[in-house]
Amino acid sequence: MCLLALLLCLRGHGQGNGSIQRVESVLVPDASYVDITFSGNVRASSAERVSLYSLGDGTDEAALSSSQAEGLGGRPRMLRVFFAGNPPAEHAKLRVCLGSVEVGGTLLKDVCGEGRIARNMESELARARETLRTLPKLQREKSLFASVFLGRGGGAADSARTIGAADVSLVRNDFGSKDLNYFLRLKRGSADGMDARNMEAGASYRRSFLLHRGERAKLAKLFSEAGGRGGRFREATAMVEDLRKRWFAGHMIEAGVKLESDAAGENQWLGLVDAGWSLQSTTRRVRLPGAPGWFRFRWLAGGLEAGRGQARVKVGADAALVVRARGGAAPIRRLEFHAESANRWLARPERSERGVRPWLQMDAKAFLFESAHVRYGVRLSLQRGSLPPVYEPVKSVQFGFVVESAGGDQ
Amino acid sequence: MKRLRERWTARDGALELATAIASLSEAVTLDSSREPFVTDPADLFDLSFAGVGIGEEQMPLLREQLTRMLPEIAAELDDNARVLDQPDHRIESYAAFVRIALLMKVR
Repeated sequence: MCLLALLLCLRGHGQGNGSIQRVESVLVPDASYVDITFSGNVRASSAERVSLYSLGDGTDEAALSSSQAEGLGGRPRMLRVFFAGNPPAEHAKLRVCLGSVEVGGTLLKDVCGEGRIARNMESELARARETLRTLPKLQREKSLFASVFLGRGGGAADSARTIGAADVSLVRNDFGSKDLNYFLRLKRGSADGMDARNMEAGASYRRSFLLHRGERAKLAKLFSEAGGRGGRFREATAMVEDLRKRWFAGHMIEAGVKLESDAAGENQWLGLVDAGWSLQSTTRRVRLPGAPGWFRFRWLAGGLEAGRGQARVKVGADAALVVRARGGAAPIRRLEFHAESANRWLARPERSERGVRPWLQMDAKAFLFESAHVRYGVRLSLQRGSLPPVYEPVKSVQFGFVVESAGGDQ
Repeated sequence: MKRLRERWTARDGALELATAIASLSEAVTLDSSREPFVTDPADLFDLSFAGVGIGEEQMPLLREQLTRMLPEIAAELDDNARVLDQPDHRIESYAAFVRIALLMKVR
């Protein structure tokens, strides 16, 4: 019973004049606190006369002894207030009031907010998990990530028909394993020079590992040691600075099986084992005047695709570059560049030939307008090389408009 | 009160999460020697992981770094990897999960 009283969670949405958006509090042994989220950035030193009350039915309320409000790192709209004592078990709400506080540069007087008391931490964790679950899925996990191009043929023979191309990727996670995925990919085009005739479906296991484990273990130790503040955290800051400057953050192993086809029904399906080892970069800052950005890349250092009549060694890379406009008047709000390349060396002849078969795909997107949820822009896509199993030469450039969900990439 | 405040500022997981992000992305800087810790961008927890350049392939690395710094909630992080490893998450939502998981251990 005493244990239950020691651990309560108070959570809810602000009421009153609207400047407090959320009140979220926890009661833990000897260190209870309430987090207050305001509608704008708050200056912690301006918060005065903080008072806390737990609320029961009707007019029943109990005052709680509280500390000064203080700011929270990385959360300029929030304040934290520590308090002593436990609210009576029958009290269901907590009210926090500030005599004055500066929010968004405006000094507000007598600001209050309320939050409900949630007493079951398991259900609170389930609630937090559900909040995360309802957010958009991964780009690669979206049920259909497709790029479809339609246009009129340019040549005399093609002038009467519409030509098109499709780039489809469908990836699903396995519910029983965090590292297993199922995928279906298709690259087709209706005209010569733009039809890669590639389709593959299979399952893939991927596992990631951090690099620089010694430094990271030391960093973790600095945090775990009691009293790890001041000098120790200065050391931690320096260590983080050092880690982020390394080119690579981790490495990945991938192994799977897949079926390959030309997606036209003219050739039989090929069964292959597909494995690879790659290095993942840290995210690097791009320093352009007035346009902050970043890029990252993954280097496939070595891979193998093997079947009954196939033995391919592959290397490659994929990279992403994003640049955002800082000023409100810039014509291009956001620029994205994605590149993917793979070089396959055929150790056994396929279609009577050995040798290297390169593939390069580059996409550049320039977004001209954006809202909180949608971005509008133009896209230039380039494909060069050939893909198994047919190795049809592809040399195409596509240009079109693009509308994309902004997702959480804000 | 001051001693307890110091303890909890460090152990709600927010500083550890900010540290894990900053160790993977140059788009975020962190000064953990100040109280409260200082980040650039200042509203880091209002952004998404994708918004600070963390991609799908880096999310498992971030979770592994966090597991090292908060070993007491390693099981919760691992069991919920599918839900957590998504770069479109708002960082504050991820931090809320970490905070509650830590509180459960205190009990």
